[in-house]
Amino acid sequence: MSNPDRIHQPAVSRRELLGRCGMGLGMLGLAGILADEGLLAAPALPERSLNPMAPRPTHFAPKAKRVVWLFINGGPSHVDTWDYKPELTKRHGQELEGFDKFTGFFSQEVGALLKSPFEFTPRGQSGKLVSEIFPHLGEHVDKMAFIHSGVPGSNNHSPALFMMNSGQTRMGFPSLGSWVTYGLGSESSDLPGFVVMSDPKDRGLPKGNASNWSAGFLPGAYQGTWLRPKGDAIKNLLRPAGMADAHQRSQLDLIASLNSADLDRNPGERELAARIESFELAYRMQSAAPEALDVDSEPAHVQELYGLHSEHCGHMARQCIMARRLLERGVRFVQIYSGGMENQRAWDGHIDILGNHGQFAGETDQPFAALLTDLEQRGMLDETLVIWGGEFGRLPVAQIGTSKPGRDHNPHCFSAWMAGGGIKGGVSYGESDDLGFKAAVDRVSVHDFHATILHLLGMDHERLTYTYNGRSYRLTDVEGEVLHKILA
Amino acid sequence: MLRPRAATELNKRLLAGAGRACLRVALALGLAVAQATAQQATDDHAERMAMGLELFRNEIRPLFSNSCLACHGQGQVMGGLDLRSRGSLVASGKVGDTSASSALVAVLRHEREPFMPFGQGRLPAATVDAVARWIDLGAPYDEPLGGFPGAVSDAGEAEVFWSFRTLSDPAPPAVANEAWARTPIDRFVLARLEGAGIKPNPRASRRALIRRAWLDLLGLPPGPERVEEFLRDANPGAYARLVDELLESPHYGERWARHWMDIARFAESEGFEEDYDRPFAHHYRDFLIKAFNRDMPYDRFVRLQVAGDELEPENALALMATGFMGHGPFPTEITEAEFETSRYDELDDMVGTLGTAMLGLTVGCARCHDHKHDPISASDYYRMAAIFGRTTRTVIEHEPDPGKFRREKAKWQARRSELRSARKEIESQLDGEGFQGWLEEGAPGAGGEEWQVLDIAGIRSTSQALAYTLDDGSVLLSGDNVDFDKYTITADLLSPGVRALRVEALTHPSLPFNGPGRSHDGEFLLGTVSVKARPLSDLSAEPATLKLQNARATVQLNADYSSVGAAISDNNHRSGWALPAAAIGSSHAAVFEFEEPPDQAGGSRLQIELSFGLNSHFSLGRLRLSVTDSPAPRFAVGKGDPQAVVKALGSLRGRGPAELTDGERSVLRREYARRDPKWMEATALIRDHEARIPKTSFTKIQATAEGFSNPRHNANGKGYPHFYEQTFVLRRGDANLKMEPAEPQVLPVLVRGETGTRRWQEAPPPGWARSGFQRSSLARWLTDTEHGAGELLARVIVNRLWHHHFGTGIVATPSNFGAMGARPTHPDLLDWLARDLVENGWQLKRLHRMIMTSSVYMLDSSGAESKAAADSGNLLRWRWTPRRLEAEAIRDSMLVVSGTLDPTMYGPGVQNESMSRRSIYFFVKRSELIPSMMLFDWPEHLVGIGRRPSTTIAPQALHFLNSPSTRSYAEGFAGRLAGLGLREAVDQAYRMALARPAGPAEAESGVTFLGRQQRLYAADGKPAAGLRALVDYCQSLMSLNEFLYIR
Repeated sequence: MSNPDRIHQPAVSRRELLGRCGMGLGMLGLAGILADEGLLAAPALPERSLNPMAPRPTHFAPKAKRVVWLFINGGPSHVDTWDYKPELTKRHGQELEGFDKFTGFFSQEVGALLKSPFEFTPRGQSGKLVSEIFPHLGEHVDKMAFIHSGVPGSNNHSPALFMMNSGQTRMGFPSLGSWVTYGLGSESSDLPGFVVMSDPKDRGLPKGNASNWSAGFLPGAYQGTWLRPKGDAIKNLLRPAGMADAHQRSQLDLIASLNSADLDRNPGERELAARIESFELAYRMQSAAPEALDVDSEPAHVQELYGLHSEHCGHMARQCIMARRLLERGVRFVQIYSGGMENQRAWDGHIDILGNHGQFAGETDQPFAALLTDLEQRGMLDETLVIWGGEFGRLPVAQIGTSKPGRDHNPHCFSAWMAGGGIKGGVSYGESDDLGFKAAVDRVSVHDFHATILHLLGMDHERLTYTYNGRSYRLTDVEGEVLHKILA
Repeated sequence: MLRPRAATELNKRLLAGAGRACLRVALALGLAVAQATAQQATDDHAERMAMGLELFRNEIRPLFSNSCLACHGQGQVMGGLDLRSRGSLVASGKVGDTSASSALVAVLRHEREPFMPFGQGRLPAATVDAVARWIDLGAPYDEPLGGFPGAVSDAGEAEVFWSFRTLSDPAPPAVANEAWARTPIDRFVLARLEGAGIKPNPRASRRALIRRAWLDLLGLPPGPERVEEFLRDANPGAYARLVDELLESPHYGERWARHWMDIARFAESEGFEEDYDRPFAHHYRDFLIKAFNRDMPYDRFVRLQVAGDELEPENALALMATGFMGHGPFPTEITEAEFETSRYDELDDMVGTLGTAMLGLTVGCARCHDHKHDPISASDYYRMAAIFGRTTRTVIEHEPDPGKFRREKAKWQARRSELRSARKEIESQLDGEGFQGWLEEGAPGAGGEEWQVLDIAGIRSTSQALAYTLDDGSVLLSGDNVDFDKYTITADLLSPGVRALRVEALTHPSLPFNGPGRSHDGEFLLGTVSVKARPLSDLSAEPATLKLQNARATVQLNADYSSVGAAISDNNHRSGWALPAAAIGSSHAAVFEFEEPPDQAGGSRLQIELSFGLNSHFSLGRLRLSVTDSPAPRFAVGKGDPQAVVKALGSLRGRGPAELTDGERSVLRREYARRDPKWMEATALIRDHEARIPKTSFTKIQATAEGFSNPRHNANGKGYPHFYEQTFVLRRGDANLKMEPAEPQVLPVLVRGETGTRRWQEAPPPGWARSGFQRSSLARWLTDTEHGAGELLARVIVNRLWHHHFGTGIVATPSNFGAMGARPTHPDLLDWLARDLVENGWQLKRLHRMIMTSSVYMLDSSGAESKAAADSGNLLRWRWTPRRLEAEAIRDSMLVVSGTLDPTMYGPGVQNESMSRRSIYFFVKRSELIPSMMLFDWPEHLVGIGRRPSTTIAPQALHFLNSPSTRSYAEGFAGRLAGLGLREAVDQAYRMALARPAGPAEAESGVTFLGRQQRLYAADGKPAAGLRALVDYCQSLMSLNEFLYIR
């Protein structure tokens, strides 16, 4: 490993390693050898390469232990969702003076100011004004801390997506989920630590594809595991055709016995021991992962709560239930993308903002609300950070060119909310200007956003570093301030 | 919360400046104190100081750099102990006045907690003794660690950071065990081992050696026969011969090219949103394989990658090599606001990759500010970037052997003349009564076609394509084919009153997919058509434009921007006539009517311009022009009378045969001859010959160069310029904050002597306009060992080879030889090897041979307990450290063992995971990286990687257990054991997979497994239970650690 491990090394002892991962048959001969600290304390490589997902201590006491990011892919319009702008309604139809037509993506389709086509009503104790497209989520506003002054990274999908996911507009940097699992490891020994779900309705992946959950320069083990929306969710989870459990078990026993004899001949090679263990882990994953993803085993009332059998939101309900089951089983970071690639396939409402946002809110409102309810009922919400947000907001002016007005990308402002572990509910932080054009008061950079998430997880964003090609990198580059005002 | 960037940056700079100042003070104080003390003290004291410094250089610095600095000074300071300088060390209070009272020594001796180095074994007693001795000598530093190296100009050699120093010329040291030292390498290593009192491992067994050599050098396991042959060869030179033989294997290049592909962040797609393919990038991979296999001197290898297009413009390999600079990812969708930033990002990728790959310098760190750790300023960075200012990724059509093509063409033309003469001869023999009678009858059967084929007098192409007029009056184009070609055709219109022009787009076997277009898929895009005319009677007259209307075609891609109408409706060569994919490979025609027919009674000279646009190389490959005087011309491909025939027939039928000119008579004689079988045969020969026109064997090569066409890009329509004439120094790397212009310049820190940075400048050869030769000058500087960067270049490549042969380099960070990188464990050895490489013509195979025949390389890999305790990291090289195979070698080994490896070399990559060629031939698509490769730490192929991590994760085990590919390899493997008895099968399987026979216990367990597994399958009612059991067994062997590790 050329990359010295920066935060806390070594993270786990052999004993922990053994204690945490049950040994299968044929492994008993190992105990004596592995107990010999003298031999095993001969590392050529840091511990991480042996078990990159071993849980690691935090910098300070965490408020949240796990994260689920509901990624509102395509750029949700803040002025049509959570950031009510009466002034925009008032000035509907007027030109926005001094507007630079290159602000969004389509310089030739700039129209006049466009009021939200949706009604806003006060919800919850806090009386937060919420768009009518969120009847269910509106029930939970007192759990949410809203950020209305977010500043996106770009006016273009993929740089903005990369910014939101990795803190850099360029390709090739580790995503938040990778940083988090690098920093904390995972509490599940038989499931991936960082799981990503994309649109199951054949509308594509977010722009930039898997780079959005890439480990960048971190070891590949920290990259997000993408659950394939069709077929087997995880590759190579099914035994070869014609092979039953008993056959594979005896194959594993053979491998284990030959490998441990080999370890006898090569004492002190810790990688060998780790690899022996990895086979047992893989064997367990084969049953653990399908079990974790078995949404149909949920009781009827839970399925009902999420809307699993509803035509318009069943697909998101399935993913939200899977997310909860994964989090419950110790998975550290789950990201669910609502919507596919762009335009009408995602929240990218260039044309017909009414139809577009109406549709995607309809797909997500009930499942997302149910996830909050379910996590709360299970006593998990106070340790689970739930994030709602996309890559940028949308412009207060209309995008014209078709019969139904839409909104173009807004590189100056976005809204997002967080709920759950460590979050103060029912607050709104920062403000956009009167029209929702630009972040105005208490502007929040993406780095601030990331710093706050890491803080909630017990990590100091300035100390979570990785040295690569001679430079010490952080998720937050050289910036980032924790948003203390939204913390409980 | 969002602070203005400027303020943040200012704070950072102030802080950085403060930190730097503090360190300098500390350093100065440390030295000043040391010097002052030395002056006042006795000679003995001075000597002690010298000893302390020597100890620091030889022992303490490597120890601190490799085992301590990561937590104590570099990026973090744990436990308040900062080892970067004497000042910071003393300030920590942990060093003590003497070694006896030193907390540092106590934790190193494991007498006090926390035991250090943390989580690792105790250091060798000799090493800790050295630390103690050094502390007792006053703990002097010669320069700070991980700190700020002095600039070359104002410091003595000793103050210069180690990697910037000139190569030392150390003599291989004397050793006690002379017999062990087979090569100079061994002396350097053994001297250190003897000093530390560690005895190196014994030599590895021959079995281990042959397997190690094969996997290390070729990335493939040796076959059982080859192993046995080697074991039987009792001659003393057997192993050296084995190494020589492997170095001659073409698989060597395939293995080592792949190492360089990591460094060059090679990929075959753009990355970002659309991740379009770069279909001609693979030539770079082929260049690498060939370069390694041919043992191309490393300095030339470097020069070609930086400036091959300038240094050897005619050499395809040199053009392929330039791919190096352009393999970085590039966004597909960029808005106007992002144009310039995107270009600076691209320059950054070029400069950054060049820096880490060639020089082990993280030049890219100086993009936003002066390098924090290495002597590279932001201006240096932008001047280096300016060298690439006009360099872009491009696709060049290259003729690999122009001489051959010219020769074949000449031969073809000579043969065509022969055939034509032969037919002419037949025609002249027909000039008898029969012909005369036919003329008298008014040439029945001749003429009468609606279309008259124009006799093309000349065709000029802006790309200087070669034009051949074929027998049917069509013109075939070949040779250079560039973007936006324009054909200017001259043809005489012999009679007035024509109403329409027909352009036929014809197929020909020499064209891609038979044409009719010249693009890689046989397509064309006729962007604009314009016709001008002058009277033949007054050729100096101003040509009149003939307006075209009512354009129609036999087929068109769509009725809109790709219609034939679009070729005349506007002046835009980006919209116009194109064919749907299904129409490729057949001939088509378009007809344009003249608004006003040309009415010159004496005929007109037409100038017809055809422009081709939008997509690259979309010009027409074969065309024919015809006119008609029909008021409602029907149109189809094919029929037409040559205009000369029509004119001659007019004379004949108007004035009778006696009035015919010789020319007209000759034209009509050919018409008459059409009925003659011999003539028909001769014509068939001509047309047949024309179909076999020598094909230009142009190869499309992705290069990175200057002065060629820009690559295709979505933002071309928005006017993306691809490069800017002037590169600027930017504040904070922000393209909107331009400071002074940056003139091209190499890195001053790596310039020696009085001649300055312009030393390598050379003017392009006379007549050369395409590029500025800035990269040539860069290439010369890079490889200049006397005044330029050549010595560092040599150190870096020597270390890369060492890294791959031993798993870790002499410098553990192969792409970072800067202050943040590791320090060499054996600096003298590194310099000796680098000097040896340079002095012997930069030949890498020689270096491989020397390394692999050294005693150090041949050491047994076992980790003896006592030695592990003394030097757990094997920094002193007392054993050969075992290591896991890389993704490629794992898969390739399985292919070999399964007997399914397809050894085809070169050419386009394959994205299908189940292909059976070596893994280097996987198509590297950034958004769809091969999953089974990624499992085993394949790089993301976004930035250069000098050293891959080696992780152990459960999905790897799932891959061995469940993936269809592993299973199919196991089936192939089992198939090769068919017919053997159980015991023989087990033994042979071991020999094939592990290059050794099965031990008695292993044989027993194998046979037992096969029997039990067969019974289990049979009990389940599975057919072929025995074979299934064998497949399971083979699969298990390929999953073993022993299979995956080189030892």
